[in-house]
Amino acid sequence: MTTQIELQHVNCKVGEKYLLRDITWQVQPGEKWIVFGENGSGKTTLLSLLAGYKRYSDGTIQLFGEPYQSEEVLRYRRRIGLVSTSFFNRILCRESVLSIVLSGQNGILGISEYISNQELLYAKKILEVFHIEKKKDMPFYLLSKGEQQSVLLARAFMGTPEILLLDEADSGLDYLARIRLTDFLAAFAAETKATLIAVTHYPNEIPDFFEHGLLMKNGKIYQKGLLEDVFRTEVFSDFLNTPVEIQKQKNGYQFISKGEVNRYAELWRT
Amino acid sequence: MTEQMNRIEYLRQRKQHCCCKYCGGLLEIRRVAFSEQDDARVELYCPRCGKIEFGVEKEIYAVTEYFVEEMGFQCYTDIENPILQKQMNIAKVAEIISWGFVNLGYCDENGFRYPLTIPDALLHEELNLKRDKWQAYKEVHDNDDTD
Repeated sequence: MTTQIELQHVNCKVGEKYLLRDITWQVQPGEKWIVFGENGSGKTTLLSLLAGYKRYSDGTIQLFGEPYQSEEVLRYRRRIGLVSTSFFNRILCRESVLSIVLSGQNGILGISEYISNQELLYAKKILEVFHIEKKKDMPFYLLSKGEQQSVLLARAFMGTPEILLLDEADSGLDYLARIRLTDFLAAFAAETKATLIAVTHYPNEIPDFFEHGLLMKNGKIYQKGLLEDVFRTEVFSDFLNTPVEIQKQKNGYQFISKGEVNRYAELWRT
Repeated sequence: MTEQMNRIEYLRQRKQHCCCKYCGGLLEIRRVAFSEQDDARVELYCPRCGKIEFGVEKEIYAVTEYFVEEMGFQCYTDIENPILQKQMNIAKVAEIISWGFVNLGYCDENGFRYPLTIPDALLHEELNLKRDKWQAYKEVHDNDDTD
């Protein structure tokens, strides 16, 4: 089986600062990965790089069994769907929902040429699936966080993603929207053979179909492997530099803090 | 887009005959996302609106603006900002007209397939061009170098 994503000693440097350092990682087709890490650990940079929106400084990348070539970026983007409000919020603002979704067809950020009627109808159908069809003419910045996530999800599916990258797709969603997202991911995992890589800050809501985990810290990979090997008490206590206990539960892991309560309580005791 | 023309060249040509369908402003080519290849990083951009914008033929924008202003076309009653509301109404009608012209064969990705001979000044004035008004205009402007 051809490795779908392969990174060997990849660095992403901006000025003197390393956003990613010495990233070595392999992903096989159809695998489901959870990426976990603190803010600023490089998760969004890693996903943007895989989706062809960011440049790397050193190392080698192979996508779909071929060496990464910058001339083929548009072709990669059509096969990789990226859902990242933290990335797209820096670029998109006043563009309309429908034009953003249509831009996913060709892997660019605008529209490349006149859209066919078929593509237009398909875009509207996708908007209906994600419950956002009534706001198709609205500027992106006027939408709520959850609605923006839905737009970016719809955009990812205008192409035919063989790899779906979700960057905190559950962040900022209300309860109903989170349920819909979970249902959507469950259907996606069951019905397709696509690879799924999702960044989350909610370990207690990790669906059971995720089987691999990647921990990131300060731009480096801290640990990677099967989820049950990565999400362990001793690994996370060291990773977070704070004592925690991890308990496996249905659809996720519960984190029990073992020290912070007393530290905060000191504020009121003194 | 022809096979011989890469995307950035296509965008360069498009910005000559198109404008922003929201504000009517001139479009620019901007680098928006990083890539080593121009094709993958440049987009048509409206600096007045601050957005990536594919644009619409300038003639279509002109007749659309007149239609929205004079006919009071309104389909965004829930938008409070009057400027944004007007721009979105113009963009909506411009989209409809563009769609119609493309499907009827008057426009393609390179613009109008047949040269327009209506002077710019009249695009903003009349929806139905009466023969006597056209004659009167021609009599006055027959010797003009520009329309």
